[in-house]
Amino acid sequence: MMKKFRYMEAAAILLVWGASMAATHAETGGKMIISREVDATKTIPINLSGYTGEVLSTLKFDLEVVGFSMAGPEQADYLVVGSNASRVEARVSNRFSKAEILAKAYSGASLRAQAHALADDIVEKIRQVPGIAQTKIAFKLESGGTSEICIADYDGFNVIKITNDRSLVAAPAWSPGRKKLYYTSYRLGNPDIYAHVLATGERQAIAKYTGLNTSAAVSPDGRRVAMILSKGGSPDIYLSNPDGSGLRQLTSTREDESSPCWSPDGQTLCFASRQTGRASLYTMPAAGGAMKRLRTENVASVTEPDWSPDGKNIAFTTTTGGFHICTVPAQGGVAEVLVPGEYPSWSPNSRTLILSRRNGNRYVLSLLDVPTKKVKDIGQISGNASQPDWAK
Amino acid sequence: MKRSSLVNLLVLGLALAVGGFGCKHRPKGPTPIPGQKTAVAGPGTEGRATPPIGGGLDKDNRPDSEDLKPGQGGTPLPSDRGYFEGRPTDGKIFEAYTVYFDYDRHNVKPDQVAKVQAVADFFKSAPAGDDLVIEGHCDERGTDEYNRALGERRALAVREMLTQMGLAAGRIRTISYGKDKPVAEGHSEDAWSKNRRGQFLLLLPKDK
Repeated sequence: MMKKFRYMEAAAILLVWGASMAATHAETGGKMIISREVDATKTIPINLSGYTGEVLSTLKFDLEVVGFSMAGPEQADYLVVGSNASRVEARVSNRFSKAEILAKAYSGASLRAQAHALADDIVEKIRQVPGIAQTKIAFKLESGGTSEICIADYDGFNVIKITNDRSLVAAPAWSPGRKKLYYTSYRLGNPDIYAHVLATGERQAIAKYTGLNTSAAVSPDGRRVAMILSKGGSPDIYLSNPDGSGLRQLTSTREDESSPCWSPDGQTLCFASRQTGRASLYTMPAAGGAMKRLRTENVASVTEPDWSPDGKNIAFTTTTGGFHICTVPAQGGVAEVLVPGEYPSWSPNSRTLILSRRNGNRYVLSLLDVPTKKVKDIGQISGNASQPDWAK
Repeated sequence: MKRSSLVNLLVLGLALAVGGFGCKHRPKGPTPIPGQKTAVAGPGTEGRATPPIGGGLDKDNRPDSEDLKPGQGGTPLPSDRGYFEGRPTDGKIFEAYTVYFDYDRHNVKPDQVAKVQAVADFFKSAPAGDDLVIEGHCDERGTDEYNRALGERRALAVREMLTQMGLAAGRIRTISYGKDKPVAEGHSEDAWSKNRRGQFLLLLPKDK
């Protein structure tokens, strides 16, 4: 279904380009209007009417996160008219062409879940990217000196504690398909890496060598895990099978490496290393080979890379002058400094970043809409939330 | 960690006094004044000197970070972790010997070497069953996982220096906490400098 829709939209856009280079919201009718919204950096004014309470607030949050702004019916480009009496219903139209682009009713689960589903449909119709409103995140939640691994909806609702060890945890990482979570726990008095099956709650230490075992990152095909181990005498990158077997050392520098991440094709790893005395990003073939420095012009002291699922960009944190989230083209180049924050993780659609930032005396999770540079905090989690990882 | 240097001196003095009386029990602290090769009044039976197994010292014949040659992969950690587990620890005994680091660095500074030497000397006459944990810690200015790696690198740098001073590598394990366990709160250099540290814990035999 989705694929077919995409092709139709693509065809519609081509038609518009052929017919009129201006490609405005003029009377081109129906689907062709959509070409106007292809510019991802534009904020799109939208009007919601007929919704109340949780459904209204959920819809607002979901749409604002991806670059929509709430507007009056006379200012909005799109009008969403509906209700949430017993189920969520919606008719979405373009205010200029009057064309109806979506008419749908939702059932099952909760009203909140139905609102998320509607938001995703609106985003897909208008922004032409898959929505993120029904995605999941994992993160570290610190409170009173101990920390636990949690998962939640992407907006911070429905938090579930995955661990209850009253120890320290770190670096949660989803396995593709959301079935398994990898994380670091100090429950045995040493930082070790665990693989945790979410459906059963069973977990298994996949790396518990003497020294540091941390920063697991599962390959996009789910068949390899990259990690940091210090058993050789220095923190280096290693690869293993999902259960920890078949361990292979990838880097052997005297300086420390940290935070490996995968290119979406599974061919390349990106990580931070202090090989030159200061933290920089490097890439390396996952099959082994030479470390290659990734240029991040304009910023220094960079860590925590995360490769976008579309392969185009690498997000990371610079620690010069406080923590800031940056992006750089995956092949290296000029880095763009976006907002204060750390530990960026890409949404599955490569548009949004989730990050952690200090807000007063607390660490909160925030969502950054990269094209519009707008940030929204996830407000309803108590404690210090950090190290978010967006499920893919 | 608000202990003043005066208190440190008192602790040292007390330790020296205890050592001087030839106490038959475990020494209460690393008794030599940092930097001096004073013998520890050990229990008198199991003291053992371990020959150096590290890279050795350079021309100045003084162990410092210059002796850690860049490009080396490092001294591997013991493969049998079970050896270290389930044993009681004593963090107090080495409290005054915590090693402090510069921002974003893991080399042991020359003014910190004497403390490492004192710990090495302590082990030359410590009971054979005694081992060592080195915890690596960082200040809050680095990111989480970067600091976890840096803290480990700090602990490993101290470990390598100890092995060059003659302590067997198989007796030392490292644990990094990154910035998860600060001893000083606050967001100033005063707090940061206290948090960038390598802490020693004495690992006692299981049956004691």
